[in-house]
Amino acid sequence: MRKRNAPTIFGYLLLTIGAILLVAPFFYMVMTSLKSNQEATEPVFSFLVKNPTLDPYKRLMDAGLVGRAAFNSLVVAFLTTIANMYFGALAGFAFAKHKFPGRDGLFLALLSTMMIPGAVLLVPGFLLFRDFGWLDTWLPLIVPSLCGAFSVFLARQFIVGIPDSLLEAAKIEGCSEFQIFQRVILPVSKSLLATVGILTFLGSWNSFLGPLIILQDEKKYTLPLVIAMLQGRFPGQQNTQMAGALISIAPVLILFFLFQKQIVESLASSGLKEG
Amino acid sequence: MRGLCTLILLLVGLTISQAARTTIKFWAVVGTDRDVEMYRQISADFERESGIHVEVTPLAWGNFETKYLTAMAAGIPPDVGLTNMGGPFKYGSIGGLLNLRKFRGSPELEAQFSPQMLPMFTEGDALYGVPFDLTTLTVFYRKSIFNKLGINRPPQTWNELNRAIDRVEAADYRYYFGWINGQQWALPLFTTPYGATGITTELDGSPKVNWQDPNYQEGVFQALRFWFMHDSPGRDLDSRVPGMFASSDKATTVPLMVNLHFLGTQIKSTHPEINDDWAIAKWPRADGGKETQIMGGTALVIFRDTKHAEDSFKWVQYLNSVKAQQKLLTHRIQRGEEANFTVSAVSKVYAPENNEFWQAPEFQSDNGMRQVIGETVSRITSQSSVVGADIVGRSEQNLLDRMNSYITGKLTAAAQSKGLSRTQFIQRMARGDYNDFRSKIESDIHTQLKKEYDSITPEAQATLVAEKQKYANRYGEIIQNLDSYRKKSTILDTGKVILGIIFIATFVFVFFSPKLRPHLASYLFIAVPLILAATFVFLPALVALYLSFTEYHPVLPLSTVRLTGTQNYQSAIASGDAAASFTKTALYAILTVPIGVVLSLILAYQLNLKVIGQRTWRFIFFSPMVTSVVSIALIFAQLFLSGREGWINTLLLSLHLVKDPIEFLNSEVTFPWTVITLAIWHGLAFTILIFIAGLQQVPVALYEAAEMDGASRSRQFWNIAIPGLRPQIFFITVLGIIGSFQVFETIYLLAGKSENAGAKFGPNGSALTVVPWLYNTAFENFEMGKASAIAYMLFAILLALTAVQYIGYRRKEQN
Repeated sequence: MRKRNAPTIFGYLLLTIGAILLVAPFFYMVMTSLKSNQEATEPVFSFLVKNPTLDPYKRLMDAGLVGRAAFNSLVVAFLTTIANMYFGALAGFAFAKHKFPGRDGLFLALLSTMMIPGAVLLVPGFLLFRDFGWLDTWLPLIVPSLCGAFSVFLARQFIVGIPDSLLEAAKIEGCSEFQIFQRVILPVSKSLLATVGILTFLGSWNSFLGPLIILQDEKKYTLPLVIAMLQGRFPGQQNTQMAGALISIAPVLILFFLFQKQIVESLASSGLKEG
Repeated sequence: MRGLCTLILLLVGLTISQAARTTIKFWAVVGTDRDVEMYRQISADFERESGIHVEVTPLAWGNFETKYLTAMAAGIPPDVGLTNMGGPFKYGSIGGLLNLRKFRGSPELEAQFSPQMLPMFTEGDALYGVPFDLTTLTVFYRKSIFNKLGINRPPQTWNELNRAIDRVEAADYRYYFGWINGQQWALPLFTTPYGATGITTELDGSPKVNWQDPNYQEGVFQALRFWFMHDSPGRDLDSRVPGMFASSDKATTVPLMVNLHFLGTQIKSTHPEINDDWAIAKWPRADGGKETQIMGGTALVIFRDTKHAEDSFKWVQYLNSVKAQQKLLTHRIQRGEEANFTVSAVSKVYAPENNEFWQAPEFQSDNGMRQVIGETVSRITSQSSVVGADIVGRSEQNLLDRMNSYITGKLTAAAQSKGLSRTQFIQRMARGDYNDFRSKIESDIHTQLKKEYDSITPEAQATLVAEKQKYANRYGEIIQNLDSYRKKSTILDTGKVILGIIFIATFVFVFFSPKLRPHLASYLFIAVPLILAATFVFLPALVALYLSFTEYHPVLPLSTVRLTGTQNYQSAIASGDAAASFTKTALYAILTVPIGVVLSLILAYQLNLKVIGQRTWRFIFFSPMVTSVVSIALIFAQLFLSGREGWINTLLLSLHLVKDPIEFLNSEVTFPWTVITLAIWHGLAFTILIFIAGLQQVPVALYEAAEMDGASRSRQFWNIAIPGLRPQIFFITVLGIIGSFQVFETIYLLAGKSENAGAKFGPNGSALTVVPWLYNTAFENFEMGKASAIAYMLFAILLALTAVQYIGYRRKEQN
């Protein structure tokens, strides 16, 4: 492949303006989170922090909300992620490599769930979980999301591409279908598992409306709920609110920095969803 | 051995006594964590006296209402709750609370409050709550600046207050009308002095909307003048106001404020340097009207589902005892920087026998606060509530938002015609330079107000009558027979049985059918996603379809659901609500998606070239993708703060790009744009990513050929890159529109709904797009049937969009 052109000065200018606009909110967040109450509530506004302090972080930690919420979010996201990776691959394997009556119909039925907008399920979901006695627990956030249709779809697309000869070899050695899944499919599907894992994790980690109507007890709140609550809990304390925003954003950004390539590829493949 | 037995007996005894001890769940709206600590201390005292344990759960002011309502709907409310003043009537009238008059100790409890406080908690003979602590409106002023301006006493009447505001503004200072500014619930403060009440109950019990009464409108006019005719910093700046009040920099000083009383303690503790230079005065009386004061603060309620009614009542009694109230006062005043002066609603606290209590040093030297508050508390009035008042209140709130835009627009236009900024114009007006304009705009406001009220009153009247009827016809009877309704089976029971039969039958069929049995493993492999889809998608979707043809209030058992045919759809369409909401949503999508696509195209094209430091650029451009939209919205809510204190406004003002700060979040025009900006900002990363992936599939040879033909860079962009990206552009556009139709979080947060429970989805409901409308209907108005109908209307539109996408996709494949 021949070398592509480099951008012109004008191109770099465009990129720089874009980058400044994208970075500015983060910059504001960092600066404000380091301000003292006095400085944050000064009627005159400044772009840089004059006397940095960690008080907002301390106050946030003393309230004990954010740490627990991050832990809660992690538990919920971890369980759904692992389950989606495993059950998604399992079902995707059956849909991709097995021939059985009703296969295509069932696959289509499963895919059709993706067309139903979440808003339709909000009211009946609330009533159903109330009926189950699941309100104010994490179950509504975990159980229905254990294996999403999209995870199955991604897995099927990937596993279709695994050569049948690999499976035949395992069959000749006397492996059951389940053993084939465990010993052949899973080991060669690492990039699929990563994609499903990353997409599920981000979806669960960032979800807001569901937890908003399901959870009552602050101790069970997930991170986005607590972040949203900061406005009401620390009214007008911009520094404390920004410290909370930073704590919620920083870990994901660091992970993104470390695994940028993999995450970008996974997110790009989520473009398949509608395409 | 014997010792062991004793030990076991002891342990068993302990366990039993633990189990026998009653625990009351108490939810309390709190301002700070110090409040939580305080309630725990009071409950510990109570436990020592009564042996009843109280478990305190704090709720934030931002979401307490959602929490109470969903907890009631979920059937898991606490025993006792501390709510805002509107809570008792609101939760009581939907059958969620116990009538306090059913308790033996009720007369003594009621006798503790001045009788004019209780009407707002009553409905017929029922009393649904009692006040706990109060806030009142007061006037704060800087003495030295007042002296300099020649104002020699605090304003006693509204005219005097208006004149003082003029003097302040004429001298280039600003004035601030705080917390209640622009708030519909505060209107009684202005209308009751003229003897007018917005909503009353006629002698025959029917509700009546009196908005067209000229006296009422005169009161509203007075409010509008205080709120919108001046350059008062935004209501969202409350926390910065003590700093402005104390500031020595003339450009920012606010020497005159009208605000809730407790700001006084805050000023005292955060700005002691001006302690000798300010004073507090009571809210002045209307010229030619009565002196009145409205009631804000908190109230106590007992929930219907409590299993410890008597003990809960004891706790409510205890909280309103002199002892507990004194503890509350002392705790709050001793908080250093966070200290505040609490107004007790219990009359006895101020009785001569308790004079000694007030001798504590903290209550002395309070700039006259206690005296002012003492006088004020005696003037508090409250109006009895009416079923449905909160629904029509929202339409009156929208009217206030529109009047705000109307007045601000007129002022801005007038300022522009003179080549001034709005602030300068207001200052000149205060000096008396534009008296003609002032009398013109005042008469215009009267005319516009009359027009506005004429247009919304009939519908409000109809709503109240309908609500009243609905209540009388249904909830009354249902609440009487709750237990029998609870035992009846529901649509969900039916659904679960059918689902169970399907699951078992399928399994049996697969297991015993000779044709399917060999494939058992395959069926088991796909069982998990299919069972989940059936249970958590198909079943609820069908239930929602059924509900969309019914009326159902979720605080009542599901068996009380009532079929109403297509009424939900019809009323949503006929009222114009559906058209309004879908139009807003479509506009949002039409603006968000193309702008995002164009920006992304430009940036993706550059990023796909051979950029120096590619990894860094991509990290910057892709990183918004992984950040949660909630955190981003929290940041944007601050960046786009209205008034000259907001970050972006500071920037725009200092670069002289605008003359007056932009009211980003406070104006119905700019609010949707702020939401759109956030959406574009947050969505850019994903779009760029998809476009880069697409650009990489465009063969390099095409560019080479173009270059040999001498095609310029921009020609290459238009003739090669754009056509090559056509499938991605199509895909992103459809996906973006589908996503836009489901926007919720950003609007919820930017509207400040997590800070202030009463907030709407944007000023004048300007960002009430479909999902916010659905949320509002389902979880704020509790009309589950209508919400389901909205959901299905949304579903229909999204299906149509998906069909468009599918057809486009097919066409692409065929080509």
